[in-house]
Amino acid sequence: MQAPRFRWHIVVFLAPAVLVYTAVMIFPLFNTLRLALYSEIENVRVFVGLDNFKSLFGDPLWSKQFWNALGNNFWFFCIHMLVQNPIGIALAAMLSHPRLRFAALYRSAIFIPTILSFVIVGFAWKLILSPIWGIAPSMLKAVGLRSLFAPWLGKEDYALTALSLVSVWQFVGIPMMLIYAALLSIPDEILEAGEIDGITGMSSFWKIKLPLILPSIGIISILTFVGNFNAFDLIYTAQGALAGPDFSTDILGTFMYRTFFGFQLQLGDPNMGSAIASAMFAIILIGVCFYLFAIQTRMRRYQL
Amino acid sequence: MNKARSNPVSALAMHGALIIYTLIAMFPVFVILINSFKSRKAIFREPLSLPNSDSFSMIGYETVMQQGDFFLYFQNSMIVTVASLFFILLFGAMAAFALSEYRFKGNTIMGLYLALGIMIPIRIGTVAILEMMVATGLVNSLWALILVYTAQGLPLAIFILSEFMRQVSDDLKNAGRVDGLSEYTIFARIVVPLVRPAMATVAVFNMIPIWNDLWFPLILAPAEETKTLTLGSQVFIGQFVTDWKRSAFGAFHGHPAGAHSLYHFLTPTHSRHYVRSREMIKVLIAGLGNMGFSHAMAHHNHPDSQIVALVNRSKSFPQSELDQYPLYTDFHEALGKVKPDLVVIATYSDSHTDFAIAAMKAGCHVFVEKPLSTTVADAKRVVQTAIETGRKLVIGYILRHHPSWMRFVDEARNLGGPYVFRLNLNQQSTGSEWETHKNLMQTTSPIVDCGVHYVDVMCQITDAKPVMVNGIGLRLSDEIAPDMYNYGQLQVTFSDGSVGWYEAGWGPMMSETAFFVKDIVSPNGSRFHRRWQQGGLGRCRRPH
Repeated sequence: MQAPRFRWHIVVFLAPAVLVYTAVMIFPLFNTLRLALYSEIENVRVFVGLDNFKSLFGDPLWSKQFWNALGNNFWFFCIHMLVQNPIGIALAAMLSHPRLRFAALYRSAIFIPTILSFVIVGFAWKLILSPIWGIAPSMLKAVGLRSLFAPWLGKEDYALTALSLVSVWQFVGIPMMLIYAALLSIPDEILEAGEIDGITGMSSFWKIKLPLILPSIGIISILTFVGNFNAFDLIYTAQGALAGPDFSTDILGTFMYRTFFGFQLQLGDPNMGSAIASAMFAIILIGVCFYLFAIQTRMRRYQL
Repeated sequence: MNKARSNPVSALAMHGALIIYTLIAMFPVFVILINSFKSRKAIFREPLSLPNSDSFSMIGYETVMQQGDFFLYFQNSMIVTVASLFFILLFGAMAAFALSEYRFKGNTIMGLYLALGIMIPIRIGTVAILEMMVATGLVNSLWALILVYTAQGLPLAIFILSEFMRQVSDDLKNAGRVDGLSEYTIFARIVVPLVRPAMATVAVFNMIPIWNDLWFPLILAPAEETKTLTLGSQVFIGQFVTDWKRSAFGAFHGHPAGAHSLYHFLTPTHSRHYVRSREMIKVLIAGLGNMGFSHAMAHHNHPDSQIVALVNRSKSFPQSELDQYPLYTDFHEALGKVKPDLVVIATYSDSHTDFAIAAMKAGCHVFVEKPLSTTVADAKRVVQTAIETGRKLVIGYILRHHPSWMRFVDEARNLGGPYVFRLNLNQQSTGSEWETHKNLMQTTSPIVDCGVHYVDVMCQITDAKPVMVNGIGLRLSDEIAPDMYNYGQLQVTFSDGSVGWYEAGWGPMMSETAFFVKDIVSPNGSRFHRRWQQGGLGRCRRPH
């Protein structure tokens, strides 16, 4: 019997994707992890083991900034989980109502911010929130609530929350669309069966739809997590790479950018940048593994 | 039967909630749209009003057309997005076909390997990606971006497409095989047309993040000719709305984060060739006094700069590395001979106007020390020349380009006014420093000499016009002219109610403790500027 012919076409089909993906994504990823173990001493790259991580977590010069950025990043993520995803689910629930008119119009309008560039979003919100020539102060004044206005982007206590909410405003369309699709795929028979048992209105959402869309909510949570922990663009466009005021909006992405490339008077340090990238990698990996093994496996799925 | 589900009250409530949220979503978009048709003044005066005959202006669009090369940026974004989508779909579909169609050893492992990238963001590997692009010479080319976005998009594309390809009926494909079609033809003629909707989904998913990305254009392709629309508009908005945010060098090098970002990373190691392979900026330095000398040294040390000539009326300047460069005594001769890209003018004030205009007419960008000119009319001529020739003109107004002051102004603005400005700069000087101060005081008193900077800082922070200025001074030394005073203070009142105080004194009698106050108070808190090094920020003018 002849040995089966080697199927070259499989190689041809796989090669371009595997090559590009390996060379531009996987290899640099591991190379970055490797670079984190080196340091530049007098223009020579030398192996220093875990020294970079020691200074990142322990040396006050670095660790203060690192823990600040990490803490801020968690707060950024919390706001997305607590505000963006519930609003997205609520909007999707309303939009998926079978007899709602103008649903397509609402859907498109609410999705528009998601397709906008960060540059426009950052600029528009600065135009609205600026205490000097902003729209928000004069609008609040018009309704007699000027005293409620505070320079939200300028004070350490509020700036991060304000920017997180801007980011929520921009991205609420994504959970909305995913949940909307999940809700539409629930067969009418199930809802009708519920109606016969007297489950209507709000309780049909809580008791029938919500359990059915839980897997989608899980996916949205992990997407939010990954997206938030490598966010950069909005902070950079609104507050610059220094993530002012006084680093109160600094997150891991902006911290890595400053460290890696240098900014203004700070010199760039690619090895320290790699160390921060490795820390981000570890955080994202832990989050994803937690989701895959602790949450997804326990989530009950229903056959529709 | 639907009655139970459609209750008019709840329908009304739903519409109410959706309308409110739609307004929240659309309001900022609306603000941007109406303001794009207004003049800059009208934007800041009444950002919310619709453009009317008074405030309507296409100036924004005109500036966009003139200043930034937005057609080029748009074209770059188009090329990057379309090419990346093409490769994502082509390579993604091919790999998905291999994974879904054939059973082979390692199929599952390969699927998992390719799916890894769905969860791990490619940005994590940026440091090594930049190194690789530098090593292969792809940095500052659109290919760098296309490769990165293709790699970024492939995992999800393969995942989605292979799910869909599994649903394509085997009978169709086998019928093709019986007819003698090759595997490639089956892929291209049978499978791809059937999964077209899925490919459209993949394209939509990838298009927006690629088009809107700021990170990789900023890092891999910040050069003028490879800027994408997103990066171009970020630089543009940064430049025109908060023009203090850009450093003088950022303007010349087209790198929004300032000059040093890339090269600090690239120069110390093996990547020096990157700098050489990039076009150097040819610089002519005119005037080698205190400021000119320090500009020359900065360009000497800057990896992107190459000094092509120096101009000095006398041949005497400190012995240094600068000796290697050709020295001219006539500015116009040097300009004609060496054809620089950038001219730095640090001569005496009376020659600024002529030199700057001549340089821009010769096609050079210009950096000129303050003052731009000695009369307003001359200053206007220089600016007009810059507009006509389309050259970059940067004035050496150092506080506007100093990172710490840029940050100080920015943070103070974000607090909102009205403000109290408390600024002073007393310089206790003895010996040669005191001699320099006395020389300066032959024309200018301390509060005028440095005060221009600090009143400018106040104006940058409030945006309001000064409406009243008081000043008092005292002559504390017999070594200066009878009508000169070596200590002075001034108070400024602004139209928004802000008040400012500035104080300056020079001489051996000045106190050491009241040396450097840079303090800004607003109803929402305060910011202060700490003098971080002696002789750095604290000095308005370094004694020669």
